Amino acid sequence: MDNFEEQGKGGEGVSRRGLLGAAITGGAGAALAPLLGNRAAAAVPASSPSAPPASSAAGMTLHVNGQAHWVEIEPRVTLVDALRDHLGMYGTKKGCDHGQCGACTVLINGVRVNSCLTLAAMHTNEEITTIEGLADGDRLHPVQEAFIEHDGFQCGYCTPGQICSAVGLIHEGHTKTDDQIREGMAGNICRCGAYSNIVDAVKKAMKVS
Amino acid sequence: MPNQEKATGAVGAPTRRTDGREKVTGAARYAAEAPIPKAAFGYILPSTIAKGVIKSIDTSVAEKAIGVIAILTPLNMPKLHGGHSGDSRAPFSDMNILYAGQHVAVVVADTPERARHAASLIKVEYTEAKPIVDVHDSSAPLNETPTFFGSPLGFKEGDVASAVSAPGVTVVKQTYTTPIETHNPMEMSATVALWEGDDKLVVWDSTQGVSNTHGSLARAFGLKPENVRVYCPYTGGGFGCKGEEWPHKFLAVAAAKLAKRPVRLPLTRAQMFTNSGHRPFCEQVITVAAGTDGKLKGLRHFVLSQVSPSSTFIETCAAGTSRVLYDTASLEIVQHVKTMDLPPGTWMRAPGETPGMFALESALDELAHELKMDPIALRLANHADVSPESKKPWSSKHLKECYTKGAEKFGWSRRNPIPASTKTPDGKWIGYGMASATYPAMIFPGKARVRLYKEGNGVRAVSAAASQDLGTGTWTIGVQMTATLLDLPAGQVKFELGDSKLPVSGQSGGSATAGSLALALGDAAEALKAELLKHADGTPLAGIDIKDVQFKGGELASISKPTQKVKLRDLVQKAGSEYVEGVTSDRNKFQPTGEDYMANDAKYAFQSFGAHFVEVQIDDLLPLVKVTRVVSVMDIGRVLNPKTARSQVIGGVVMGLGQALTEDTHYDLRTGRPTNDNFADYRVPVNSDIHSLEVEFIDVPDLHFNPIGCRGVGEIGITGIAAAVANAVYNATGKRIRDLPITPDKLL
Repeated sequence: MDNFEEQGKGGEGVSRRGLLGAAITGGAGAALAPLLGNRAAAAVPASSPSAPPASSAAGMTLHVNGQAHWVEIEPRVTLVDALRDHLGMYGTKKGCDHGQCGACTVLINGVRVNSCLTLAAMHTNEEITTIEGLADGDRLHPVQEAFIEHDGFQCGYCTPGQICSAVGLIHEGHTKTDDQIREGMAGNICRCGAYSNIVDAVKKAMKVS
Repeated sequence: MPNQEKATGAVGAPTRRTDGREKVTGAARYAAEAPIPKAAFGYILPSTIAKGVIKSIDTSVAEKAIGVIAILTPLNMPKLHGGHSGDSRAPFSDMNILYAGQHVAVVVADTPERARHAASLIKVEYTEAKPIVDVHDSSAPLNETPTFFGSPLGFKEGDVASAVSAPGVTVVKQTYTTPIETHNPMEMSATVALWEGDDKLVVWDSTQGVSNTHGSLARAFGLKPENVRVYCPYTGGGFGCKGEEWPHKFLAVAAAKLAKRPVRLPLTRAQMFTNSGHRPFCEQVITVAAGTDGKLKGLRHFVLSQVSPSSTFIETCAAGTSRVLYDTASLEIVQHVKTMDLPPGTWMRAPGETPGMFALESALDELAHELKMDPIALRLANHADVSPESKKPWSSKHLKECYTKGAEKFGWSRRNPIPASTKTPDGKWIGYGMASATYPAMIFPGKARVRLYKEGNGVRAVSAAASQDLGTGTWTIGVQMTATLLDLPAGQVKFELGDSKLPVSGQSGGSATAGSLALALGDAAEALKAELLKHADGTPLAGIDIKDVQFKGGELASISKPTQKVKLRDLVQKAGSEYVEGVTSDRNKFQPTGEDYMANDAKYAFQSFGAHFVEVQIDDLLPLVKVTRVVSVMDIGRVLNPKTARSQVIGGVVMGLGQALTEDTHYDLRTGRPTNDNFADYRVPVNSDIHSLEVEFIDVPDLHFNPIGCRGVGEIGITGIAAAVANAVYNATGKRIRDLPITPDKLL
C-alpha cells in the first residue's frame, strides 16, 4: 500500500494495475451486458473521484442488492469503502477497518464477508447483498424484524453487520443451540453489549422464516 | 395502569425503539455519513513519538500526491479562541508532543485512500525525549493534594487510624489495581464540516453533547452561535469518549476552511485509543475495620491514578463509592495523581465508580470472609439509611430489596461459603459472588419544547430537545414521557433530537439524560398547559386556576370537577396559529405535585442502587473464567421502558465483564506507545463470552427527583460487576485476584 503512489505515477505498477483494471472492466462488462439489459443502462452513476488519472482508477461494475453500479475506483479500494464512499451506501458500517469487529459484514453470493478485508475489484462478478437489500420493499426481513422486537442493539452501529452475519449464519445452518449461535456470531462485536438479545433475535427469526 | 401503559405506549411500556427501523435497514446516518455532497476526505497523521518536539514537518512531497487538496499542520492552523476540552491545549497550537498518537497533520484529498497515502509521504522530524508511562517510575511528578473541578479530593471524618488499631476489630487492608481501559464504541468518532461562506458553519459530529459541541465550535472559531449548526441524529455509542470536545473536531473545521470544501474526518480505530480518552490506571488501597457484628468502624480509601500533561481529568475512585455506599464510623479518603506521558484520560462509563466499586466491593467480600459473615448480611449491617456524604435523606432508596430479590432469583442460599469446595458434574470449579451497585442521579440544566398541532379529529404532539441518543434510548423515552405528560397515545407523539437548533440540552453523561429530559419536558408541558388556557375564554375552563387543570385523554380537564373539560384540538383551533407551544422555563417547578426540584436538591440525596449476583465456572487445567449467570436487580426509580432500560443494564454488565476478564490497554514502557490499539489485541467481550443475563427492576418512582420519577440507567449496570466476578472467582477457586483483568495466568 505504501508504494501505491509511486506505482500510480509510472513504472511497472501502472501496467499491472492497468491490466487488472482492464481485465475487470472488460470481463465484467462483457459478461454482464447481455444479462442485465436495461438494468445495466440504468446503473446508478457513482460519485466518482474528481478527474482521476487513467493510470490510477479503473472502471468496474459492482452488483449490489440486485442493481448494477458502475464505479471508477482505484484497485486498492476495499469493498466497504467502495460501498460507502463511492456508492454512498452508508448502511454498511466501518468499525475497525481490520476485519476484527464485523461491523462491515455483507453477503457475497450469500456468504458473509468482512467487506473491509476484501477489495471491491475482486467482486465484480458476484452478487453483493448489504443491509439495504434485505427488506422486501416495506416488509422487513425476519431477522431485521426480530432484532427490533428483541432489542438486539442499542446504538445501532454494529447492527447492519450483525444482521447480515445472522442471515449468513442461519443459511450456514449452525444455529441448532444457543452456544452455536453465540459462537457463530462471535465475529461481530457489539460494544453496547446486546449479545443475549441478538441470540434471542436469531432464534426468533429462525422460527419465522 | 400497566395495561393502559402498554396500550398507549406511555411511560412503563416496553415499546420498541423509535429509531429501530432506521437502524435495522441501514437508513440511520451517523456523523461520517452526513448527506453533504462533494465532501473531501481527511486523514490524520499521528505522532510516532510519545514525548518531544516537532523539529520540522515537510509536506512538499505529500502536497504533490494525486488527489491531495490541502494539508493542515501546526504551521498553518488558525488560532482558536477557546472551546477545546478533552486535550486542554488548543489543537496544533504548538510543536510539543505530549503523548503517542497526538495529531500532527491532516491531509485532505478527494478519496480516503489518497488522503491516507499522502499522509504517509509527510516527513516529520522530532527531537525525542524519554516518556514516563510507568506509574511506579519515581521521577514522574506526583501530586498528593489534587483537586478536581476546584474541589479537593481528600476527605476525613472521624479517626480511621484509631479504629483500625482498636482491640477486637477485624481489619482487611489490600491493594487493588485496574488498568487503563478504552471505551471503543463501535462508531469511530467523526466530524464532517461544511462552511457556508466565511461565517457560517454546519457540522455533523459524533457527540454526546450536541449543545456543548455547538458552543465549543462557535467559541473556538469566533462565530455567532446562531451561525453554527451541529447535527447528530445518531451516535454510534459513546460511553464517555464522545463527551469532551476532542482535537479532531476543530481540525475538521479548520481543514474544511483551508480546503475550501466540506471535509469528512473520521478517526481510525487506533486513534480511538489515543485521541478520545481512556479510563486511567488506578491503584487503590482499601483499609476496612469492623467489629464482630460486621459494623464498619473505619474505612480508608487510598487512590493513586494517572493524569496526562494535557488534561486535568482524574479518575476519582472513592468519591462515588466509599463516601456514599456504607455507614461507617470513620472515613478517610486520600487521592494522589502522577503525571504520565500518556494521552488524556476522560470519563468512561461510571468514571470513578467502576474501578472504585471493584476495590470497595472486593474488600467487603474479603471482610465478610474474615468475619465468617454472609456478604449480604455484612452489607445490610452497614446499610446507609441517610446519605453518608451529605447527611440528607435519600429521595428514594430500595437497596435492601435489591439484595433480597436478587438473592432469591439467583439462588444465593445455595452458595457454599467455603472457597474451592464446589465443582460442577463435569469437574469445573463453580463459584458465586455478589456486589452492590451504585451511581448518583444528576440533573444537567436543559430545556425542551412541546408543540401541539391539530390533526384529523384530534391533536398531534411534537416535543424536542437538542440532546442526542447514544443508543441509550433517548429518542424512545422522549416519545413515552411526552405521551405520559400530555396523556396522549404514543402514536400521536413525535420527539426530535440531535440538532443544535432545538432547545439547549445537557450532555449525555452521568446517566443524566433521562432525568434531565423528564424535568425539562415536565416543565414544558406545564408551560403548554398555561398557553392553552390563554385560549379558554368561552369554554368550561374559562378563568380556572391552572393548578386545578390536567391533561386527560386528549382534553384539558378540571381535576376537582372532571366534567369541566375542553378538547385540546378546540384550544389549538381557537389559538388560530399552526401550533401551540410550551417551552421549559428556568424554574423547573412541576405544578400538579407542587414539587420544586431546585429546592429538592437541597433537601434530598439522589442516588441509584442495585445488586449483582454472578456465577462462574472455571476449568482446572485452563482456568478461563466463564461467567455462566448474572442476575442484576436495579433501583433506578420509575422504569421508563423495561425493554430499553434492561438493554442499558445488560450493556453495563457486559462492559463490566470486559473490565473483569479481558480489557487492558497496554503502553510500551520504553516508547510510550499503545501496543494493543485494535480489537484483536484489546479484547472486549464477544457474543460467545456472554451467557445468561437476568435483570429485575424495583420500579418505584422517585417523585422528588422529577415529575416522571425516573433516574438514569446508563452507568449503574457496570458498577460492582467486576467485584462480583472477582468474588465469585474467589468462591470458586480460593484465589483472590486484586489486579484486573482476571486472565487465566493469574489463576494458574
